[in-house]
Amino acid sequence: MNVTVEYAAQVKRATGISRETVELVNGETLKDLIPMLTERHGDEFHALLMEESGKLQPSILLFIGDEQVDWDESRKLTDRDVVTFLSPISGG
Amino acid sequence: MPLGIPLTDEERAVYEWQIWVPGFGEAGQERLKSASVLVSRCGGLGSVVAYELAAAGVGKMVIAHAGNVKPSDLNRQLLMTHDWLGKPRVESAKRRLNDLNPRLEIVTVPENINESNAAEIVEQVDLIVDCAPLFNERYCMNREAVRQRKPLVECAMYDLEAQLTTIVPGQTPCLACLYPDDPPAWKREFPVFGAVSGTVGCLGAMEALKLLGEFGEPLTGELLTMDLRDMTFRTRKLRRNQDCHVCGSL
Ligand SMILES: [Zn+2]
Repeated sequence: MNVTVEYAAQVKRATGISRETVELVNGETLKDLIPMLTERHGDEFHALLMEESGKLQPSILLFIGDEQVDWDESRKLTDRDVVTFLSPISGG
Repeated sequence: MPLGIPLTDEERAVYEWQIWVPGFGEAGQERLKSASVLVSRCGGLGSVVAYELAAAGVGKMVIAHAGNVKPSDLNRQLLMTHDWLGKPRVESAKRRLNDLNPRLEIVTVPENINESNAAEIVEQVDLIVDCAPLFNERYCMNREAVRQRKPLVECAMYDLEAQLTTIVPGQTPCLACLYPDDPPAWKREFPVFGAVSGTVGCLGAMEALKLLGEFGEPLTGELLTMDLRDMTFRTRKLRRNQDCHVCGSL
């Protein structure tokens, strides 16, 4: 099965792409997906996303479809889910 | 929200075309006339927010922004002009806003919002439009918006992307629900075009007008994200953090 992963703002800058398709075996959660993405996109991306403690940075907003979700929730991803990572931005 | 002040014949003539907007009408215009708004800061976003709110006939505006006009402001800060380089930004903004709408009462604060001035400045207004670049300024406005139960429109941009949401304390997530601590990755300077900040500024002004004029459906509890590189616009639902250290007790 495939999920689409979308990136915004500084996370997008770190990956160099706005979206990609990731193939999953079955039954993966977001917590399983994130290490697959950090492996693909390297240190800068990893540092933006993850705290040293191994938790997601609290200022990264995560969505499945249009619903905001917790990074460690137990919901399993399903085929054609769209997962979005939004990093904080500001005015000026 | 404000109750409204009767219009003069001159005001009826100036605002005639927007009074035609269904759901708004003369009652909506009267509410705008009695309304007061804080715009902080009046840079790329805030200039456009303030200009649209002045054009629409908001009665009173408090504009807070420190510093003098710099050359690098002029690609997007549309209330700043070349002849005002080196002079205070808020004075340039006031002059331009009153050229457009001499009826608008403007209070200028030549400071950015901070811990010590936030409470007193927010007390002067019905609604806040946050156009500030630094999270500590934004947290001060958020904290006061929650404490004083006033709506807060949050505008943000980066590169060709932008985000917008409207906070109604007690009903929607607040800024600290979304970003509990100063995000470590955020940098003060970032790539931006004036047409991007202007787009978000117009949308933020529209949120303020809907809340003050009591029409339409504001983006309460929703985040509008846009990427102007490919013109993708999406609205997503946001969640309150029940343990939020700012609004969790409401
Ligand atoms: Zn909150």
